[in-house]
Amino acid sequence: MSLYIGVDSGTQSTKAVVLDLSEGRIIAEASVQHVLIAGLPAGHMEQNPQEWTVALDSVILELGAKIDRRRVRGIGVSGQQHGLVPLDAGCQVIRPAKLWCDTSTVKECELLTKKFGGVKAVIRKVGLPFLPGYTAPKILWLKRHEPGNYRRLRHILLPHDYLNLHLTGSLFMEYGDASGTALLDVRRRAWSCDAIAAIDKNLVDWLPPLSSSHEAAGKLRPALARKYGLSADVLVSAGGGDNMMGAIGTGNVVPGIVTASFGTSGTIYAFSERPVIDPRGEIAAFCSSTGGWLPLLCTMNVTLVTEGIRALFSWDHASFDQAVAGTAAGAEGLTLIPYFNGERTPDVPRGTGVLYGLNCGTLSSGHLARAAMEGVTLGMNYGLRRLVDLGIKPKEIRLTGGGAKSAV
Amino acid sequence: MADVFGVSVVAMVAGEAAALGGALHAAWCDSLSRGEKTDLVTLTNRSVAVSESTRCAPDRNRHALYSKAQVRYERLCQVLRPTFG
Repeated sequence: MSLYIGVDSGTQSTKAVVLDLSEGRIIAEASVQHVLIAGLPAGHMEQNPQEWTVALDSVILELGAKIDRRRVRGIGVSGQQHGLVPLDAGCQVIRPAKLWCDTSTVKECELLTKKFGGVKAVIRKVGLPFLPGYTAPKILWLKRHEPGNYRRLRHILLPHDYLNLHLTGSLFMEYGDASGTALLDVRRRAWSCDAIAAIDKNLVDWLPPLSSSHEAAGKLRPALARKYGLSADVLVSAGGGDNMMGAIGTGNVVPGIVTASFGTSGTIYAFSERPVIDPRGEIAAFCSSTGGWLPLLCTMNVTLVTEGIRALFSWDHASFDQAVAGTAAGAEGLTLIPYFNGERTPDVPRGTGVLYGLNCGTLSSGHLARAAMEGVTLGMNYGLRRLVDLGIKPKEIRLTGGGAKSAV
Repeated sequence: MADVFGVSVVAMVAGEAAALGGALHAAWCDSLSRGEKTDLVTLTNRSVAVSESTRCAPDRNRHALYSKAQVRYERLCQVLRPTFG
């Protein structure tokens, strides 16, 4: 019966699976690593979009060799959120994409927030505050720092939209990923005139029209269909940001399910049938790619911290787990505030890790391992508690990401 | 971890949730484009599996202990905030 290809274009790699829908199981997988541009100043995180399209072609060709390609009916793309892909009038990439983890745009956030008259006004009009990771300040950055490139700007896409353009030839944007631009009024799911005017009124012509998330971005381009050995009738769905697609892949499409993703950084998010706006701006008021909303908390310090402690004692994963298990819950009061990388929630970009509760009884590798594990979990739980404060009623937390298996 | 959250915690069978989500999104979109009234929940119920052997329910005593730890953690964050600059 029908097969569907799902592609997740991440910062470190592109991963893809083939789903046999009637059997409800994954029958093939492929992945390719990619790199960030090296040698940029601190805070600048960039990648060549061509890196993603080459990886996309490569994983689809690899999967194609493992399956009956005639059965493939559709492709859906998940991409890293927030990245800015600036295109000229001919849809050519003007400069490398600034990524979600790029923090060179602190000044632009200040300028935009000031134009609105403060954070409260931004949240009232857009639904979420301007943060360095989001797309809007990256566009203003381009305008302020690279006027030559900015003059050529005619189309603005997010990473997964750029892959949809590669696959179908159409410029397309859906609500879920669009809500991470900070240009969308997330309550109404329409471009925010105020946010656009704060950067450049021409943006309204440079952003693709918004589509519902269940729509198709288009059919596979005939030349690409031939290259992949797939039917030219293969549909490319709207796709979405990685957290939006992660929600679908963990069944987080009805109220009550919460997804916690444990990677280098972590996210915790829940489907909602209504917009969930955080007056404090800590929970990102995103839209889902399933017709609803997806309030989300992002923390910068998860496996980065536990892996750091593991490396410090030259442990393998089993030894780390043993050290955690061998220490009582609560680590006898040893608390690790895990802000190794600064922190986004709560907003302390210059934060550092802090150990509290050291004494002769708690000064041990086991206590430190336990405190690291608990510290990152308490950090995620801060997000869960904020979600609950805003009306989410969690019944079950589903874990995903590289750190998930050992984390349970 | 369930003891910290105070909610049942379970890992997924499939490692690549976002890629699986992409495939399911394509299946949903394809089905709708052919005029079928497919509910996304029907698709995820069929293809998204949790690993029941990993499920942990919260222990009431340990959750109480972690609730106190959470208060201490958040108070520490508050107090430290000005020192981070």
